[in-house]
Amino acid sequence: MTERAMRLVGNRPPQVQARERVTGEAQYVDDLAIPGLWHGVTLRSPIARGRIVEIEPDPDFDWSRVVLVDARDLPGRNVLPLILDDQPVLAEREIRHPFEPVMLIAAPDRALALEARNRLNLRYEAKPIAVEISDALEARVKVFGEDNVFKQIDIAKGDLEAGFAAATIELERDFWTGPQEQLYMEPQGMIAAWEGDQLVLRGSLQCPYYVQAAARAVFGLEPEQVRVIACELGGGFGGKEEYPSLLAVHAALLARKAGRPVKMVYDRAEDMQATTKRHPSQTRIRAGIDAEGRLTALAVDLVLDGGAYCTLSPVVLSRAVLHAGSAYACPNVAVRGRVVATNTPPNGAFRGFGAPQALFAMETMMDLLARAAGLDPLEMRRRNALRAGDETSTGQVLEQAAAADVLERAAEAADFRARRELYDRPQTGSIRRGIGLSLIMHGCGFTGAGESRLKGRLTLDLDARGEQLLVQVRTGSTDMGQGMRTTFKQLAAEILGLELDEVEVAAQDTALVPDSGPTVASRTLMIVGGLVARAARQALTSLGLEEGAGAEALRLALAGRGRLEIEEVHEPPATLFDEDHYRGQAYPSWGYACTICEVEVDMTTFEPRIVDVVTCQDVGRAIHPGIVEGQIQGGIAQGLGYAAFEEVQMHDGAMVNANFNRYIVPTAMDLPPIRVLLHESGQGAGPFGAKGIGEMPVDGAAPAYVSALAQALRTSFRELPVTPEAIAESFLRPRPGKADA
Amino acid sequence: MSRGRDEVEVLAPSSLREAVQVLAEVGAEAIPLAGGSDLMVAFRDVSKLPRGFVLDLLGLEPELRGIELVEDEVQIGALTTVDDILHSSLLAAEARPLVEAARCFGSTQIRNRATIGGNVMNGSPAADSLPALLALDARVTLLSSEGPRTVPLYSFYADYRRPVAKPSELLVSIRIARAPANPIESFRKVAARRAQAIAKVILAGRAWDVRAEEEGVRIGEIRLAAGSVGPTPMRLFETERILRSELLGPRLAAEAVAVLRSEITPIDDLRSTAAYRRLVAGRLLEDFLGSLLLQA
Ligand SMILES: Cc1cc2nc3c(=O)[nH]c(=O)nc-3n(C[C@H](O)[C@H](O)[C@H](O)COP(=O)(O)OP(=O)(O)OC[C@H]3O[C@@H](n4cnc5c(N)ncnc54)[C@H](O)[C@@H]3O)c2cc1C
Repeated sequence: MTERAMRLVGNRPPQVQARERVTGEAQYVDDLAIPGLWHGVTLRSPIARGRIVEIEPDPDFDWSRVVLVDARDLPGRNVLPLILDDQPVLAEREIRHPFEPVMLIAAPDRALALEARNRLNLRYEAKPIAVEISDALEARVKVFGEDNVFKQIDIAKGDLEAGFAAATIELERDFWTGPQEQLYMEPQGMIAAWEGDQLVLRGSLQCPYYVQAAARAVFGLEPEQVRVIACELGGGFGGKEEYPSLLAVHAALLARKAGRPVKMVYDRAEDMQATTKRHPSQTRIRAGIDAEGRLTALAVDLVLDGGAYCTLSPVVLSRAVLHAGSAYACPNVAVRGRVVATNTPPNGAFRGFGAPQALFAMETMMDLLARAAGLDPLEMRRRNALRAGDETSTGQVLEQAAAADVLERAAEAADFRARRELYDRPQTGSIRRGIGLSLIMHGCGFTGAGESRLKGRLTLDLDARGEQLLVQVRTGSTDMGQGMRTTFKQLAAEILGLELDEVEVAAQDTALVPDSGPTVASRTLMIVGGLVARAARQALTSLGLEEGAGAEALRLALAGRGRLEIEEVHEPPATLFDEDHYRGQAYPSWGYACTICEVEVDMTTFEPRIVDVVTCQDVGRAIHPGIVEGQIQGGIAQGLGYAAFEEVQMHDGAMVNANFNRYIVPTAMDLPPIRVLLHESGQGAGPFGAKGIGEMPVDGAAPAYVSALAQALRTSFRELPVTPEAIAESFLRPRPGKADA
Repeated sequence: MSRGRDEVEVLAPSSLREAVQVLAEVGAEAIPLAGGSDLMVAFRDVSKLPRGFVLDLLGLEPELRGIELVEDEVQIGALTTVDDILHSSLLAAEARPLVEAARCFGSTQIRNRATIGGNVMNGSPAADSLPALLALDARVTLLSSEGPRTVPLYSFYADYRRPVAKPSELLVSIRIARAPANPIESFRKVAARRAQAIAKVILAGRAWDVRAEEEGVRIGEIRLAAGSVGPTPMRLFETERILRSELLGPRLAAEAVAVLRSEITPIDDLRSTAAYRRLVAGRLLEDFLGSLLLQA
């Protein structure tokens, strides 16, 4: 494949549907006109924990105009199936978090449904609540089991105490991160319709087959009886990984009882209050380094707040513990990770999936260690960066590791050394400056044996029966803006020798496409895109053609049989990773990224301003460099929001700033141009050596930002987000006992 | 706008005379609508939907939109948009703090809709134009069928978002003093991001007749006003008084900052903390006084 010059891979064709999205022609779920459609809304709990006493309908309201659904309307068990099967579809007696769904209401128009909801009086008895990680660990209030721990994972390597004995410097520090809202532009939305005995679900969702599985379990249906169609998607970021399953079941319950299609679309406030967020975290790191500044021992104790139900938290935890050591070689490691239950809405998937929390803690710790050792952050990382042949904390031996490469390239482009030295000199003016960096790695694809269980499938269909050759890629992977449709076309067309518009990507409809596995975990291009490439090559082989054969040759070769359908399945051996002991190959590929951030702080107002961002990311191969750069810039913007702006304010477990003017995300005016350097090592597990790139960019932004801020202000920050209020506080009242400051 | 339950009638007078006539009749049940950038947000809350009439002011634009010199004052019509203010060369010469307020106001879309009259009548303590207007000695003119009256802006707010205007009155214009010779002016808005953000603290100031003397700088006249640090936008009379009382040097500056911090009454809310607001308001004043020392 490498001898032939590439025609399409590496190009930047316009994204499929780009024009429609920009002009507003694209049809999102809320735009669909469906005859006889009713509108559904949700009655939610006003408290974090308690018992439902009664729901009284107002006798003065005409209830014949609406349809009500409660837990008694469920055909079977009141469970939304996921890892632990602990979450009810609708709260029945016990309330475990604020905004928990209790009842559903449908009416011919939304205003009437909302009016009916206002006429329902939910009476309850409140109970004591646990809303912080510390409450959960104390376990006086039991939200889950006896100890509130959903899941614990341990990683052990080497001899920790021997490692600390060999250290000349040892530090122990705590780190905290807050929740973060995915804030996709398009809120959650779903339309359910029962057509005969088939349930049809159209929605804004990342994983059609997850929704299908949930609906099948709740209604006891066969796969063909649940058809799920992913509409044009206005962003996901993980927020539409597991949550749409609940919304789909709600809409389907209403549609079943109303005997007509029902649409549920959340408004922004409801979406922010009720749906999943990034897990808050609390991490203690104890680390030792030797006289050269090399890590000798690393002990990490990380706790994530899972919220009231388990959802995907154990998988998020898994990724968090696997990223706890960042991109560094350390012979002696102990990681303990726990995810605990609190009376807050369940937290769930969000771009980065546990890695950003762990990496913020570790990267900030590396800066503190560097300071203690008298090294600059760059030199500290040079001495510790993982190299080919090194071992990760699970004993995975890396065949390729671009950590040092991305570090050097980014440092050079940002002129890091000189600027760091400049800002180390005394600063007195009303503007203080700092530059900081982070070096991280991100595991691409599902963790451990996940891919072996998923067995993602994809079909390539070549049809020469009509006037024109039809080539169609059928995949359950969705395009939420990350460009799946465009890159899959590029891959198929490149290998088959076609033009882009000669390849079609089928709609993401379970009636048409196979289960390619969920669209998550930076796996779509690397894993499912790999299936596109394999299917295309398989097609050529079975037709006796060479790579890049072209339309004419394909048509001729197909003349006899007319049509060829290739199905590919991704089935890596399950033995590469030992899930019981967390040993072995955690990910098929790791991506590496260095991010450098420069800030200025206005000392009158303590307002920081991000003045420059440079990043170098090992993406393996950029199939579409424009899309890859877009992913990186967007991810860094989201990571900087996490670091400096976005604060989910909670009161008794409920988000109280659930709108765009109180939950502050940066706009283009708050961010500098983000300078992206692509490192194309060509050594990823994906097609043409590509790696997954969806999540990695988010990981390194927060620690780089905080590192820069720490230099500018001659202090350290160990909690996210760092707001101007927090900066002012640290200026007025330096935390006592901060030898590292 | 109505959903069939509480019918709302939209009235669209085409002249000021007609508008005040309407208000004389139905004032208590009528809501004047200018750019709608506050009202449309409020209307999302069903309980705040109008009950009786909405008085659409669009037809009054010919009479109420514009910026002009009237005798010794600059008159700004109530329907003048924030974008008009941003691009006015008259205001650039006479009222720089107000232009600076317009610059950091919302976004292009909001500046195109939002009117100065709406900002004044909505009366948010965080409204961007109000500290600037207070520092420029603004007076507002109200009109009812009984005739006009003029109220200084510093006594216009009885309490949190409660202008003293009566339901029968329309705001027709805002007048500000022309710039004195060699004014030293400042407008600073501190907010969580650089656009589309509600202020955490605002400080606006204008000083003139500022002279360097042997022992320090004498401030002849000074106006200071702050936003987001109390229930209403505030003219800082006490701080002004202290600053006029003696020569400006480090001691007086420190005293003025202390007076300002006790004159304002900030609170903790979802946007910021009282401590931060108090701290930063004082530092903004220090900065402004620093520029007086430099420019005198
Ligand atoms: C996204 C967004 C961003 C914003 N950003 C800012 C910002 O940065 N800074 C800021 O200060 N504000 C901001 N606002 C608030 C708003 O835009 C301003 O307060 C604006 O000046 C209101 O003017 P309007 O013409 O839209 O008022 P409207 O919404 O039409 O009216 C506001 C109030 O004034 C009354 N009223 C209007 N005109 C008259 C009149 N002539 N006589 C009597 N009563 C009258 C109305 O009845 C109503 O009570 C923002 C709003 C939004 C939605």
